[in-house]
Amino acid sequence: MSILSYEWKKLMVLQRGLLYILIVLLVSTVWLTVTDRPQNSAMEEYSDEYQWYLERLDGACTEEKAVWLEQEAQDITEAHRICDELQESYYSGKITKEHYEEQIAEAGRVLAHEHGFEVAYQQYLYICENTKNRNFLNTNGWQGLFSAQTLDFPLFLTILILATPVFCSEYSCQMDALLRTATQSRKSARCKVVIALCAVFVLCAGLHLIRFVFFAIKYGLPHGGYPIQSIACFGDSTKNMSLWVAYIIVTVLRCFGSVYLATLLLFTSVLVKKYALTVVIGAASTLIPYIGLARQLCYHLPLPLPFLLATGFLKGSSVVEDSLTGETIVTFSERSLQQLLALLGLSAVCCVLMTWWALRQNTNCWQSGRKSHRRWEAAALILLLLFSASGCSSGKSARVVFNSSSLSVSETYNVIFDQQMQTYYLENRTTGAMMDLNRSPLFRAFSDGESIKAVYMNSPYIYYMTSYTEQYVDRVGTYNSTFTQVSIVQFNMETFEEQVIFEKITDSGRSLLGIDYTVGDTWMFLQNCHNFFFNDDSFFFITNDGITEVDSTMQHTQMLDIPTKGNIAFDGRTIYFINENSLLTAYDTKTHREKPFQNIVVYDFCLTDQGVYFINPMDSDSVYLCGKDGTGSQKISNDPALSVDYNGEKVTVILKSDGKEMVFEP
Amino acid sequence: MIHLIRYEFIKQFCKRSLLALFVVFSIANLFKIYGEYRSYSYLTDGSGEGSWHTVHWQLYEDYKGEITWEKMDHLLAIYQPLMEATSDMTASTATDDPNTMTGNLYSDRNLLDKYFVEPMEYFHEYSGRSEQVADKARQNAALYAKQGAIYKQRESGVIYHLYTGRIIPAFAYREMCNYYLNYDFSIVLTLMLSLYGVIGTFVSEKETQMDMLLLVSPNGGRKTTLAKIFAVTIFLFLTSLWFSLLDLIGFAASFQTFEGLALPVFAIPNFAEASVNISIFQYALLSAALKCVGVWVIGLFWLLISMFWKNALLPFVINFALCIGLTVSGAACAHSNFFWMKVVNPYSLLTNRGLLGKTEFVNLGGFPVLTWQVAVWFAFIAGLVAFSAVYFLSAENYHRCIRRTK
Amino acid sequence: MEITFKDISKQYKNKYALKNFTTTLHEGVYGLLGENGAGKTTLINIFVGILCSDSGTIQVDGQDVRAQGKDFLSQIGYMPQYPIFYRDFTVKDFLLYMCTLKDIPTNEAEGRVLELLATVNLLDGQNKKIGALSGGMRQRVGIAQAMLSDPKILILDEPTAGLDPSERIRFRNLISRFAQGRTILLATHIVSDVECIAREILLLKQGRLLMQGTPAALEHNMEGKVWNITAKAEEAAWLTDMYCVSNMKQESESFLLRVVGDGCPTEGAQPTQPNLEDVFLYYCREEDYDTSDTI
Repeated sequence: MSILSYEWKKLMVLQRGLLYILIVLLVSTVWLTVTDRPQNSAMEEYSDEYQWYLERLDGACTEEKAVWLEQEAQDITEAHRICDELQESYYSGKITKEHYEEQIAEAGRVLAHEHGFEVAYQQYLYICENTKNRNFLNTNGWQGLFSAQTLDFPLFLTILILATPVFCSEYSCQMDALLRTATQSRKSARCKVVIALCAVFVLCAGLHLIRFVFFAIKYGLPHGGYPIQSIACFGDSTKNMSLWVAYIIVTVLRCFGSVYLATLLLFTSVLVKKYALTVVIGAASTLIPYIGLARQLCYHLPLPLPFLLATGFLKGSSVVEDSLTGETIVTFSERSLQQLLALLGLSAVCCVLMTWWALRQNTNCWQSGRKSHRRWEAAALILLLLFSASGCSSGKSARVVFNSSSLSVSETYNVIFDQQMQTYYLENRTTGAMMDLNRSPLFRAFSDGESIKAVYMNSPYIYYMTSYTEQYVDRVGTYNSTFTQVSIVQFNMETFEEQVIFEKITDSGRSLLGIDYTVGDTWMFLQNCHNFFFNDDSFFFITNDGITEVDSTMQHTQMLDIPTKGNIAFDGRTIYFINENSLLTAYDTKTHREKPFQNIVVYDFCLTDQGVYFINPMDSDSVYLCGKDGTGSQKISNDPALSVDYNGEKVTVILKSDGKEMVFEP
Repeated sequence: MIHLIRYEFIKQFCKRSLLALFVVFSIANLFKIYGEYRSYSYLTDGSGEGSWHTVHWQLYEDYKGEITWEKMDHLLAIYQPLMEATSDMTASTATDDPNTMTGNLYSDRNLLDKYFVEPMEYFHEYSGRSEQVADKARQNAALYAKQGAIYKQRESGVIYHLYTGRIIPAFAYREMCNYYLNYDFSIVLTLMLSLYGVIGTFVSEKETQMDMLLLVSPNGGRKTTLAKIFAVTIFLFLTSLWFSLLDLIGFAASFQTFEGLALPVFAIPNFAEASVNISIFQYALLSAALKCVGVWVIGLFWLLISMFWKNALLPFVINFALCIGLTVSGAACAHSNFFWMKVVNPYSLLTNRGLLGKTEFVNLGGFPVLTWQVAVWFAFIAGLVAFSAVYFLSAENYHRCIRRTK
Repeated sequence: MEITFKDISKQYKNKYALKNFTTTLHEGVYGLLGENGAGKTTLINIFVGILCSDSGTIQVDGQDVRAQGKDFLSQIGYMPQYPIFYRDFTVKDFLLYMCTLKDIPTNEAEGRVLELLATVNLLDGQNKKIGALSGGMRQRVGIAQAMLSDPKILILDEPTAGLDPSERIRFRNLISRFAQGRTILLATHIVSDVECIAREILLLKQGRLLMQGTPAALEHNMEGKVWNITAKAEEAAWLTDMYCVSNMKQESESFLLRVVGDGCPTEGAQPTQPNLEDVFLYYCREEDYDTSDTI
């Protein structure tokens, strides 16, 4: 066996280097697969519709495309208006069914890709800021690929494990002296260094390859030749390069950073000859600047850190305005390619010097032909070197009746929303006494950022959704803790006990020990949620764009294509709503099947324990009652009605004629 | 035993490399603190006649001390005209206006707004707001009593007592204290240094094959282990205290003042709902103590993990990963309403403003206990578990074991 | 073969570990004697190229070893003090690894390893992990690896430390077998190890070469300086305090003392034949010495 094979056996087999590499590659792959969320969830949710637009917009934003997009916006608005008018005319008997269907189909063709339009239009607004170097493309893959902008801790720790024992293990078993008297001592040391650096390089490159393959498969990586400014994270960059080139540069820089860190560890291990001190110096040299310095300063250091982060070298400058004085503060100054090359060159020199010194120290004096040098060489090198929750308990809701359009009542309390104070109250039904739904004396006492957004009643519990926004920003820097947190609190009306059952941070400008981190846009929809309900398996959040289902255990989100213009009702398993054609529709949350009830055209409806009360526009807005499966439809009232509500006890109908209330006991 | 502890301490922690790291990390910490001052304070513009620094400290002489109506009226008498003059953004932007304090109207307004009006307003209004909280808590207690919700009644009682009579009587410069209370960087240094110190405790004995020798010594075995644990405890406490002290000194030196330390802690905006009625200086002491407990419990778990390896590499990396895990999860749940997640994570004790800055309770057998108190108790219990595990899992001379059994 | 050390010095901070060491070695076993910290390991480390000397040169057959570089290394076999080696390697694997490091062609390596394993009586343990070997077995692995390249110069640093008497005798015999046609430099502070096998002794004290010569010559030089005394307990205690006592044996009510000193220590003292231990003791006692006192 050659020296290389023996050194390989020592480092990769006996010291389990190979095993660690494989474990990290495997764990990273699994972690990526489990935790990845699209950077732009709407782009993924409505990928077909967005694709339709992309086929027409793909590439640079020309004047024709801009005009066409603006025209589309007008057409969609117009189509919505026509649909509303047609439905009203049809159900009031002003137009025939054939005419209605013909016209609605025409409008439907315009609205077929509406969601995709929203995404494309947002992208258009971004591109408009600088049309010269921003193109239309599906950005999720590329953004995901470039999203790793913080220190990769698993990679960092594995480099520590791989590089530290290369020489330290020889010192610990006192083989260093023996090795240095062998004729091939230099070759042995060289092999060690080569294996360690190659292993680190392969690990880093492997991790990047995994990410590349993952994002290519999951989202696709189209149009690599487009400018990097096409994706938001490089929007302000002045560098003229394509996404492909950017990715290759980032990968190469990170691989270099990894190799540089490994070299630093090899150098340190030869210098201090102790495991613990080597690791602590390696960790401190990376973590202290990562946490302690402003990000833009990190990119000036000839240390492994800037290369391990890498993406900042391609970013553009960013500035913020001082909230008090209005002064412009540079939060990140762009690094030019020349500066990058200079830093890379200096770091490469450091790398070479450290490797040379480490090898020299492991070479026999008679071979190296050197004289005795006190440790000034090492000192010089050191001097040269001295310059990154949530929980969910399932609620109990065996049988419920929920109508989003009305506030429920329990046996003891009514929930009342005060429009003026924008808050919810509980009204004791026997005494008439009012009290705040959120009983905490601290609620809104010192902050204006707290509010109750929605209430869901399932006796004896009231579930209310609170939103808490903390804005604590002092100038620009590490004291940012701006975030919005949405929680669902379970309030027991009998015992007055409260328990949080769901909690998410929806957006964040927070920093953890100075490292800025964001939470993506996955939970952003919660900020616009105005109603919610849930069962044992899922939470359902109603926003103007639809209903988002959140899996209670895995926390996966899924947008349900349910229009939320009218009432949304839920009976613990089935969601009832009015579809685009004004038909009462049931959506089974278990089977995920949608079933429109044919011939039940509704203007408004409410769900009760007995069935569904609805206003039938086909019969002069009379009030009907049908079963939960849409059968057994029967007229309840001949008076034309404006709305129908159910509060858990009685059905209230507001008459069209005089606005008076008519009450039914179901 | 004292001798053993002394020798263990000297052996493990009076190493040149550790002392060198202490010095390097302390210097890095002071640089960072000075960097905070330069980055965030508006009073870094020198000592020129019209500089914010000079003008601020001149004005401060007029307003510091007890908040009185005269002072407030006086302040508003200067501030209101400035507000009116600058509200439509048409005032002169000249920077050498002799009729202004800093040379510019907007600058005058901003200075007054940031350092006097806003804090004074907050200080003045705080007592009213806290009185409302106390009132509501009292009403809640009555309601819960009627409802039979004993726990909630007790919780309201505690809130009532906490918030009754809260007042910020005096005006003081609070900028230094604000940044000091929100400063976290030294935690990283403390953890890294502590990890380096602790990791060698058992490993170095194995590396030097002293473990066998210790085992056969009359004072070896578990007695030495006990001495090691105490030495580690002393080291962790000293490290944590040193950085707490350095933070305070560093901030005071950078901002060139100790002003504000006598203010109640709730005078700092993100401590408005603080669960303790103490001054900022007392808070600094309490915070230092909590940090000690947090570092101690983490350190003992490091010690426990390091017992099972013959060299320092893997335990260091595992402990380091544990530390990152605790830090990330601790930061993720810092504002969470799932209080238990904060309480069980010793990292919360290190940052501790998540615990002390909010009035949050944990239900312990029907009694509301403030989260920071539960966190301390939990840390003590976890620390004792780790302590016992280290003690009982450490190697013991077989003959001694038999004698003890007999 | 002639090895010349000329004015070799090595200083750590303000203390000389080795000062102006000058000597010439030929074929045969050379015992490097000296108390702990005398500079033996420093000299060996400089000789094998682990340490760089501050000054001085080493020549082999008149040629500076620095100029020889790799050629010089291929001529030496080195066994370090307290070898641990790789615990996870088997004995054979380890020796094969060392063959690779020493540039021994692969086709010769296995044969050479087996031959040496047979010589050091470790054939049965060739597949044992090094971590499972006893101290003596590990020392034998150490000498085997040093002999792999059939070196002209063999340097052994405390090779018998920690071995039991039979292992030590076995080891001494091994060295004697290997001495044919080689220069062996054996550093130790166990006098008896070199007494019987060394051609010459180099006595080091505080980094200086105190004396060099054959054991017989050194012992001859000590004649009249070693005395046997029979004394009562009180007198024995007094003598122990006053003189350098190399041995003290109790015989019924009196003690038989072997005293090393320049003059007759007491009345009734009988001069006796000095041995190498007496030489070591005489020169290495805690007194100032004259640096010109070399042979």
